[in-house]
Amino acid sequence: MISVSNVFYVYPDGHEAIRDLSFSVQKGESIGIIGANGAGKSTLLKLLVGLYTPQSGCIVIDNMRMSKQTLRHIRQIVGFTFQQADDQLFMPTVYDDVAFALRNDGINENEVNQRVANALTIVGAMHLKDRPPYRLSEGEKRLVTIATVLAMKPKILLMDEPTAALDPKARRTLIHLVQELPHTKIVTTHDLDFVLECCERTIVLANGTIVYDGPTENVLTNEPFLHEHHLELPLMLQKKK
Amino acid sequence: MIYPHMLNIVQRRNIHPLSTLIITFTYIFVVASFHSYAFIEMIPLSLYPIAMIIFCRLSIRHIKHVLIASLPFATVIGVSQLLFIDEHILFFHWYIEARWMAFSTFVLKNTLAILAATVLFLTTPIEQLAGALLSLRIPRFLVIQLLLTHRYIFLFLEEAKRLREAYMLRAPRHRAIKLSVWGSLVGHLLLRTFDRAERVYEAMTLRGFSIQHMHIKIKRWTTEEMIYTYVTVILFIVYRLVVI
Amino acid sequence: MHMADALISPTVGMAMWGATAGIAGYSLKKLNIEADEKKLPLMGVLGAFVFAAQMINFAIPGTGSSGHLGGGLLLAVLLGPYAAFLTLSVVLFIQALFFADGGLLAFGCNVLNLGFYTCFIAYPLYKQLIRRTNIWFASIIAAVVGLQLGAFSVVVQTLLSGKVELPFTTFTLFMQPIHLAIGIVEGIATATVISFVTKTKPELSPTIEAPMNRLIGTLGLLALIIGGIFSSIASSKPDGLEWSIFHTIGTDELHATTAIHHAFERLQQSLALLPDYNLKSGGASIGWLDIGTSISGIIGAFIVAVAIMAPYIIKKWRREA
Repeated sequence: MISVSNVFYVYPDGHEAIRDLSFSVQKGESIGIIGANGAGKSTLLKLLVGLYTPQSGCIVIDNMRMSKQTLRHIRQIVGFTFQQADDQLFMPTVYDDVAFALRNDGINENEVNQRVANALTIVGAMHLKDRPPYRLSEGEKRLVTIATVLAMKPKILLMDEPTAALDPKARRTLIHLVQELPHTKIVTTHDLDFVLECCERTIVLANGTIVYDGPTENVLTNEPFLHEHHLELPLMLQKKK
Repeated sequence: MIYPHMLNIVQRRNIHPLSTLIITFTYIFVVASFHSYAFIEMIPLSLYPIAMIIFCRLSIRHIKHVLIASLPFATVIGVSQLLFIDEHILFFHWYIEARWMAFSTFVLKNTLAILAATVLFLTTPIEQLAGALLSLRIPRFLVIQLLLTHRYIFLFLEEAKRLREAYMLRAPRHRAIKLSVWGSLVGHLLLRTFDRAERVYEAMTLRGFSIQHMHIKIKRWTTEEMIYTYVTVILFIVYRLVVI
Repeated sequence: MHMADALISPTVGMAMWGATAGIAGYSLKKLNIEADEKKLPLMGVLGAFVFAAQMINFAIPGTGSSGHLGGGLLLAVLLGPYAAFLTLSVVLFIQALFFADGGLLAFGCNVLNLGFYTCFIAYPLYKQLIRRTNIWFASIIAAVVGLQLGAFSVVVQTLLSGKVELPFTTFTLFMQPIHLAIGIVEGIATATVISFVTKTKPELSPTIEAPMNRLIGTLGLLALIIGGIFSSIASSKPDGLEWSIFHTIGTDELHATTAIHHAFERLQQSLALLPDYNLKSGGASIGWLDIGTSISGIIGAFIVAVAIMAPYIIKKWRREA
């Protein structure tokens, strides 16, 4: 589904964000990407949707090598939700926002209607459809951003810090939703409990390279390793002292 | 300048936005065209905003805020009329002092124009207004820009409020922010604005944005709405022509 | 400086709407947004920024009072004149609609007064000055010039409209000094932000756009002249005929109290340049009123036109020198 090989990315200001990164993802996998602040998590996600272009190396998604020509198609397949929901929801109503991509694609209004309703129902936000996004709670905004992406019928979901700034109940709702979605998923987060519940595989990044790639249980129980990378044991695994 | 209650304003959406837009402009046009002593003639015109406020049950609180905010301006100009006019006018059978007539006419005019604009705002949600503007051939680009600015105003105002509070908490004795600090405060806000613009742009391109394709719903005019609009507009104009 | 609807006549309002539409259309064309779609979200978000920045007051050194940023000049420096003009138009529209800050009919006036002069007069001036002096000097001078023109424009538009009774001299002497102070504060604030941004993120530092087209100046000038002529035609039916205006003392002006005022008045009378727009004469001499308003309308437009052209003239003169 996704194959990243030997990718390097340097920011215009010279900061080397991604160094010789390679991994591949099978269909239906759910992967958590964790690591300290500035380890390159968000950069990696932006590379996967072509917002950034790597200086070298290659990214293949659904058997298509990422390039200017395939970008449009790849973005149809890959849905990306931003860390700050407010950046993603810029239309006057929730409905318009979810319909945004579809209308840009020239899909007829009937089908738009159906797909928007469908996407909003999946995330359980149908009742918000006429509300302006800026009046939603952080949890509601998060669900809507996921709906905006689901409406495009992607095969792969990329989520940047989906549980940031959510209250426990909203976070729980999100976890259930993510568990139920059948898509191939890559999630960057600092919420290790979320990774434990939603992702069977984990990649740990440090200074733009992969320092661990394997089953989630193995790494999230390795306390010294986690500490080394500015992480800690998931709360549910911590013994009460 | 920003009113804290604005996040909770309920905008009524039962009137067609294009109707309200056209009616509002005609109304303001008519009100502005009256001369500076037309106090009596303008009184019947106050029926329109009052009727709208009552029938659409508009937010009195917002109207109150807006009117209060306009007070300093209205007072300055109004009082200037008291100072600069020194003549008498014939009012029915009496000569009265023109300055008071001019003063009250100005205040009434100002109030009516502000009420009309506020009625437009309170009865027309921004996305519907956008559609109405498009059908009036306002360039798409400007309409989209209007929507985007509107989208981020409240977010930014809250951020500004937080910045100000953060400063005041650490400098409780200052009444306003020191200029040097202010520069970096607003400068930071500006830099974050650029970052945000960048991310919004990314979010747009990821979903295949192009100006031409951005969908803005344009509501159809039903026959009743059309008749309502024409009748109201003609009423205002006829009134203006008959009275003078 | 936002004008309310009650201050202006429909003719002046519409003429200024027309001028605004013309300049906005021209700016849209020059901006060529298709080539740089990135500018759309930037303009939208910067518009919201202006609202936020206006919320944050700063202390004006040595006075105990506080001020806030207007943002026009800053936008012009960051975005270039065309994008800044459009962004300001949207900001002013939202202010008029949401907060009734500035009227809807007066929207055109406000865009010209606050947007046009800032983007197309003050900003080119800033560009010229920044090459020879520093940010501080350039911003202050540019902001002052922009606001002085804007303030004068308010006076002219108000008098052309003839809806309120304000003697030209008194009104001008009231508006200009106030806006001199506001301009200096605006200039300092703008320079503060610009120097912060250039220091912190040099790659963002403002790009100086291609030279201004003369067309824009001509367009604004044309609008003002048309506005002047139109409004004088419109007011050929003077207000309130049926009220039968009755004069008691014979002058409608507040008698001047200061020496400066006297001097100005004498100057004004001797030059017979701008008799008060609302020169109220006896009912019989309506013809004179007509001529008076027309002349003052056109002269007002002319003064503004000269002011508009000043930067170009200076530029040309500099080049030749």
